[in-house]
Amino acid sequence: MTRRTLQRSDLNGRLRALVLTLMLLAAACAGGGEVGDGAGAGAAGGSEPAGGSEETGSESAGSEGGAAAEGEPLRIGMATTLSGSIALFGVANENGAQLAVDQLNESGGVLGRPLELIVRDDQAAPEEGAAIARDLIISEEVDMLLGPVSSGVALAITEVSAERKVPFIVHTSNTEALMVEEFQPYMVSVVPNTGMEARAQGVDLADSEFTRWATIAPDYEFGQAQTGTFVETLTAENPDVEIVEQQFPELGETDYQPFITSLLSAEPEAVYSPLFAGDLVTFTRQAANFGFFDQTEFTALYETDALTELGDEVDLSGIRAYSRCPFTIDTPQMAEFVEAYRAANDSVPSDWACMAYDAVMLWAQVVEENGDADPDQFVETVEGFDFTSLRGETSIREVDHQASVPSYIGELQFDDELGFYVYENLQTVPAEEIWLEESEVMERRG
Amino acid sequence: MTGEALVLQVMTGLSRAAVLFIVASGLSLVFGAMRIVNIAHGSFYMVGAFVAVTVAGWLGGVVGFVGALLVVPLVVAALGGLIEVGALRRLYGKEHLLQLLATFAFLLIVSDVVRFIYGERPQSLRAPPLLSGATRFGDVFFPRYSLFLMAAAVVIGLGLWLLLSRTGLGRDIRAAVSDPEMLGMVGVNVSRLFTVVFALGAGLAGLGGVLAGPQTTILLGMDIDIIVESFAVVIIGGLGSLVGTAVGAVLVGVTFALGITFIPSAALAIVFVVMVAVLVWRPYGLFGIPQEA
Repeated sequence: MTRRTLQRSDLNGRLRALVLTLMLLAAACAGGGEVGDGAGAGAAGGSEPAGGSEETGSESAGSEGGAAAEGEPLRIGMATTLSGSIALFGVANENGAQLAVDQLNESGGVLGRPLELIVRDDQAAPEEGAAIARDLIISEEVDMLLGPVSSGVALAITEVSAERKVPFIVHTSNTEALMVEEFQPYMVSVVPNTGMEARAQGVDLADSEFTRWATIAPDYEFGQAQTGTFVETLTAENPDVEIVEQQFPELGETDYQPFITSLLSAEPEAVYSPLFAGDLVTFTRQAANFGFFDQTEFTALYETDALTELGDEVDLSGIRAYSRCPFTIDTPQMAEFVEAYRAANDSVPSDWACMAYDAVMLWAQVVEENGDADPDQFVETVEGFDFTSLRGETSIREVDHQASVPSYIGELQFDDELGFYVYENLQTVPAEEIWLEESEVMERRG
Repeated sequence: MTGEALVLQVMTGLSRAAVLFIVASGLSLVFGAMRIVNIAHGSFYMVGAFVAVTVAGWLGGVVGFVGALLVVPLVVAALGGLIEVGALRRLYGKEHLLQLLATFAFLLIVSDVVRFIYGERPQSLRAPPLLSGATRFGDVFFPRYSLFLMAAAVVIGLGLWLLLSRTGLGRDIRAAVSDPEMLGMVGVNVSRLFTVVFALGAGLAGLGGVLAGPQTTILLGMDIDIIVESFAVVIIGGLGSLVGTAVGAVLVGVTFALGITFIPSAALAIVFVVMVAVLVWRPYGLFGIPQEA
């Protein structure tokens, strides 16, 4: 197994906080303002080189082991989030991609060459993600990039991918802008995008008897995009719908209580939420203490990681939740994958592991078909490419490089054996019903 | 917005203020008595929360939480004492910049040690069943744990007030706040006093961490979040003033909660607008004593 992980310290965030603090202090110390200002500049300037040297230090710690296949390895670079409230997803991304790499290496590699996965922490910061992507391409000479968790980071990386002409497969971040306004040919998506997902839910929930809706979503690209499309679809399908309250807390917020009470006081019949990972877990725990789930219907991205984390803590029975790639999908590929994943990681795979696995496998199949890892050949072959994903037969649409993957909606039911909630009556909404028409894609690109 | 909803929103703000007060009172105490701007104060809060998870895990159940509540502040206070004796003591009387850099260094060190021990995954601490769930007032639900937090803040506030006003230690601390130079001259062991004050400040942050645990997500980075807000609290209230810290915490907590309802996109900005307004009006904070230049 060849593998390298580098986690940069979150020094950037620290520095920002320090500078902020010093500014506060400079303001606070009446009469001592000058000393404070000097301290601010000195501290910030003095600490920056430390960040750089730390990076070089850890990087040299990487090791390259042998694998079944021979020759110079093909390298896969992954910028994902391994720290903070959404780190749950980054860890799953890494585990899923690593399993794919290990399986491919065991069966002789790709083009007879071993694969190597290089993972780095983007701290959910777009500028960090872009810097990592550049570094992976220039210093590590990766042959392809796997997408990050955050859509904001994905938009930054897709620019680097276009500029450097390196294939970039997104499997977790999913803003529709990647396929439309910001589309570039080296990008491919194996995750249902925000538009598809929000339209699936909007259509599904427009039939419900609820007309007073509220929303709460993380305040960045993904949260705004998904909420926007959901509200658009819902109100178009059902003109009686009224949006009574919208909240956008920071990504990584730890105190949702004022947001929860604010939502409740608008007296919605139902609340829609693209909160996810640790944020959704925190929200759920705090909301339960306000009797939130007794007072309003709630629908959110309760995927496997969040559900595992919550266990039986909060009664979620009957909540209509959505998922991108639940491990309960009934395909032989998924069954096999779940077994291998459990053996390797001692837990069931979450959506983010499944899709990262699919991303690696898609790239490997295209490269094998081409007999070469050339990026331009990759783009040519991947358009219209058919492959068997964990979610079944899938093809890549030519116009926007979106995989024809469905969106999943189900009701949560507690599973005694697993000790957490899973989906009952899993409903599959096919891509063809929810993705933008090709003409619409072209129109929006202008 | 109905009156009921308004009350609920203010109550939520108060529960946020409760934790802020407990943590910021330690920060304010250390600054007031020692003139040290302790950027690592948030680290004690984070360590408190993480160690509480470990202790609660060992003991299990209700005993676990109560045990953490009793033991963890002592552990964190000891850590604070150690840092004071081992490092900060050498920096008194030197430039403020050195102290700032030293505490900033501790913030980075502590964060990396916590990362090394606990990893990147968020941790959680469960409140005992008695304190979990909601209490119902008419049509309104309110988390029992938030009520407990408010009560805890009041008890801790009273305890600190008694300590400062009724004990010999308190008398020395007050003396240090108003005139640190005189203190040594009248025969107080200043060096021991500073160790005790720093440990007390750290212990309060640690206690804040344990108390905040069940209603937040315990995660790397919580040190920075709390320190920024705590500084806002003590700057509004006036560094070194207990009453000021209480008023500052309530202002920050309630302003934020109401901001979320009325101007959602600018809630956090409003908190800092309030801070700037206070600074313009009273540069030394609402209850602070003007510093001599």
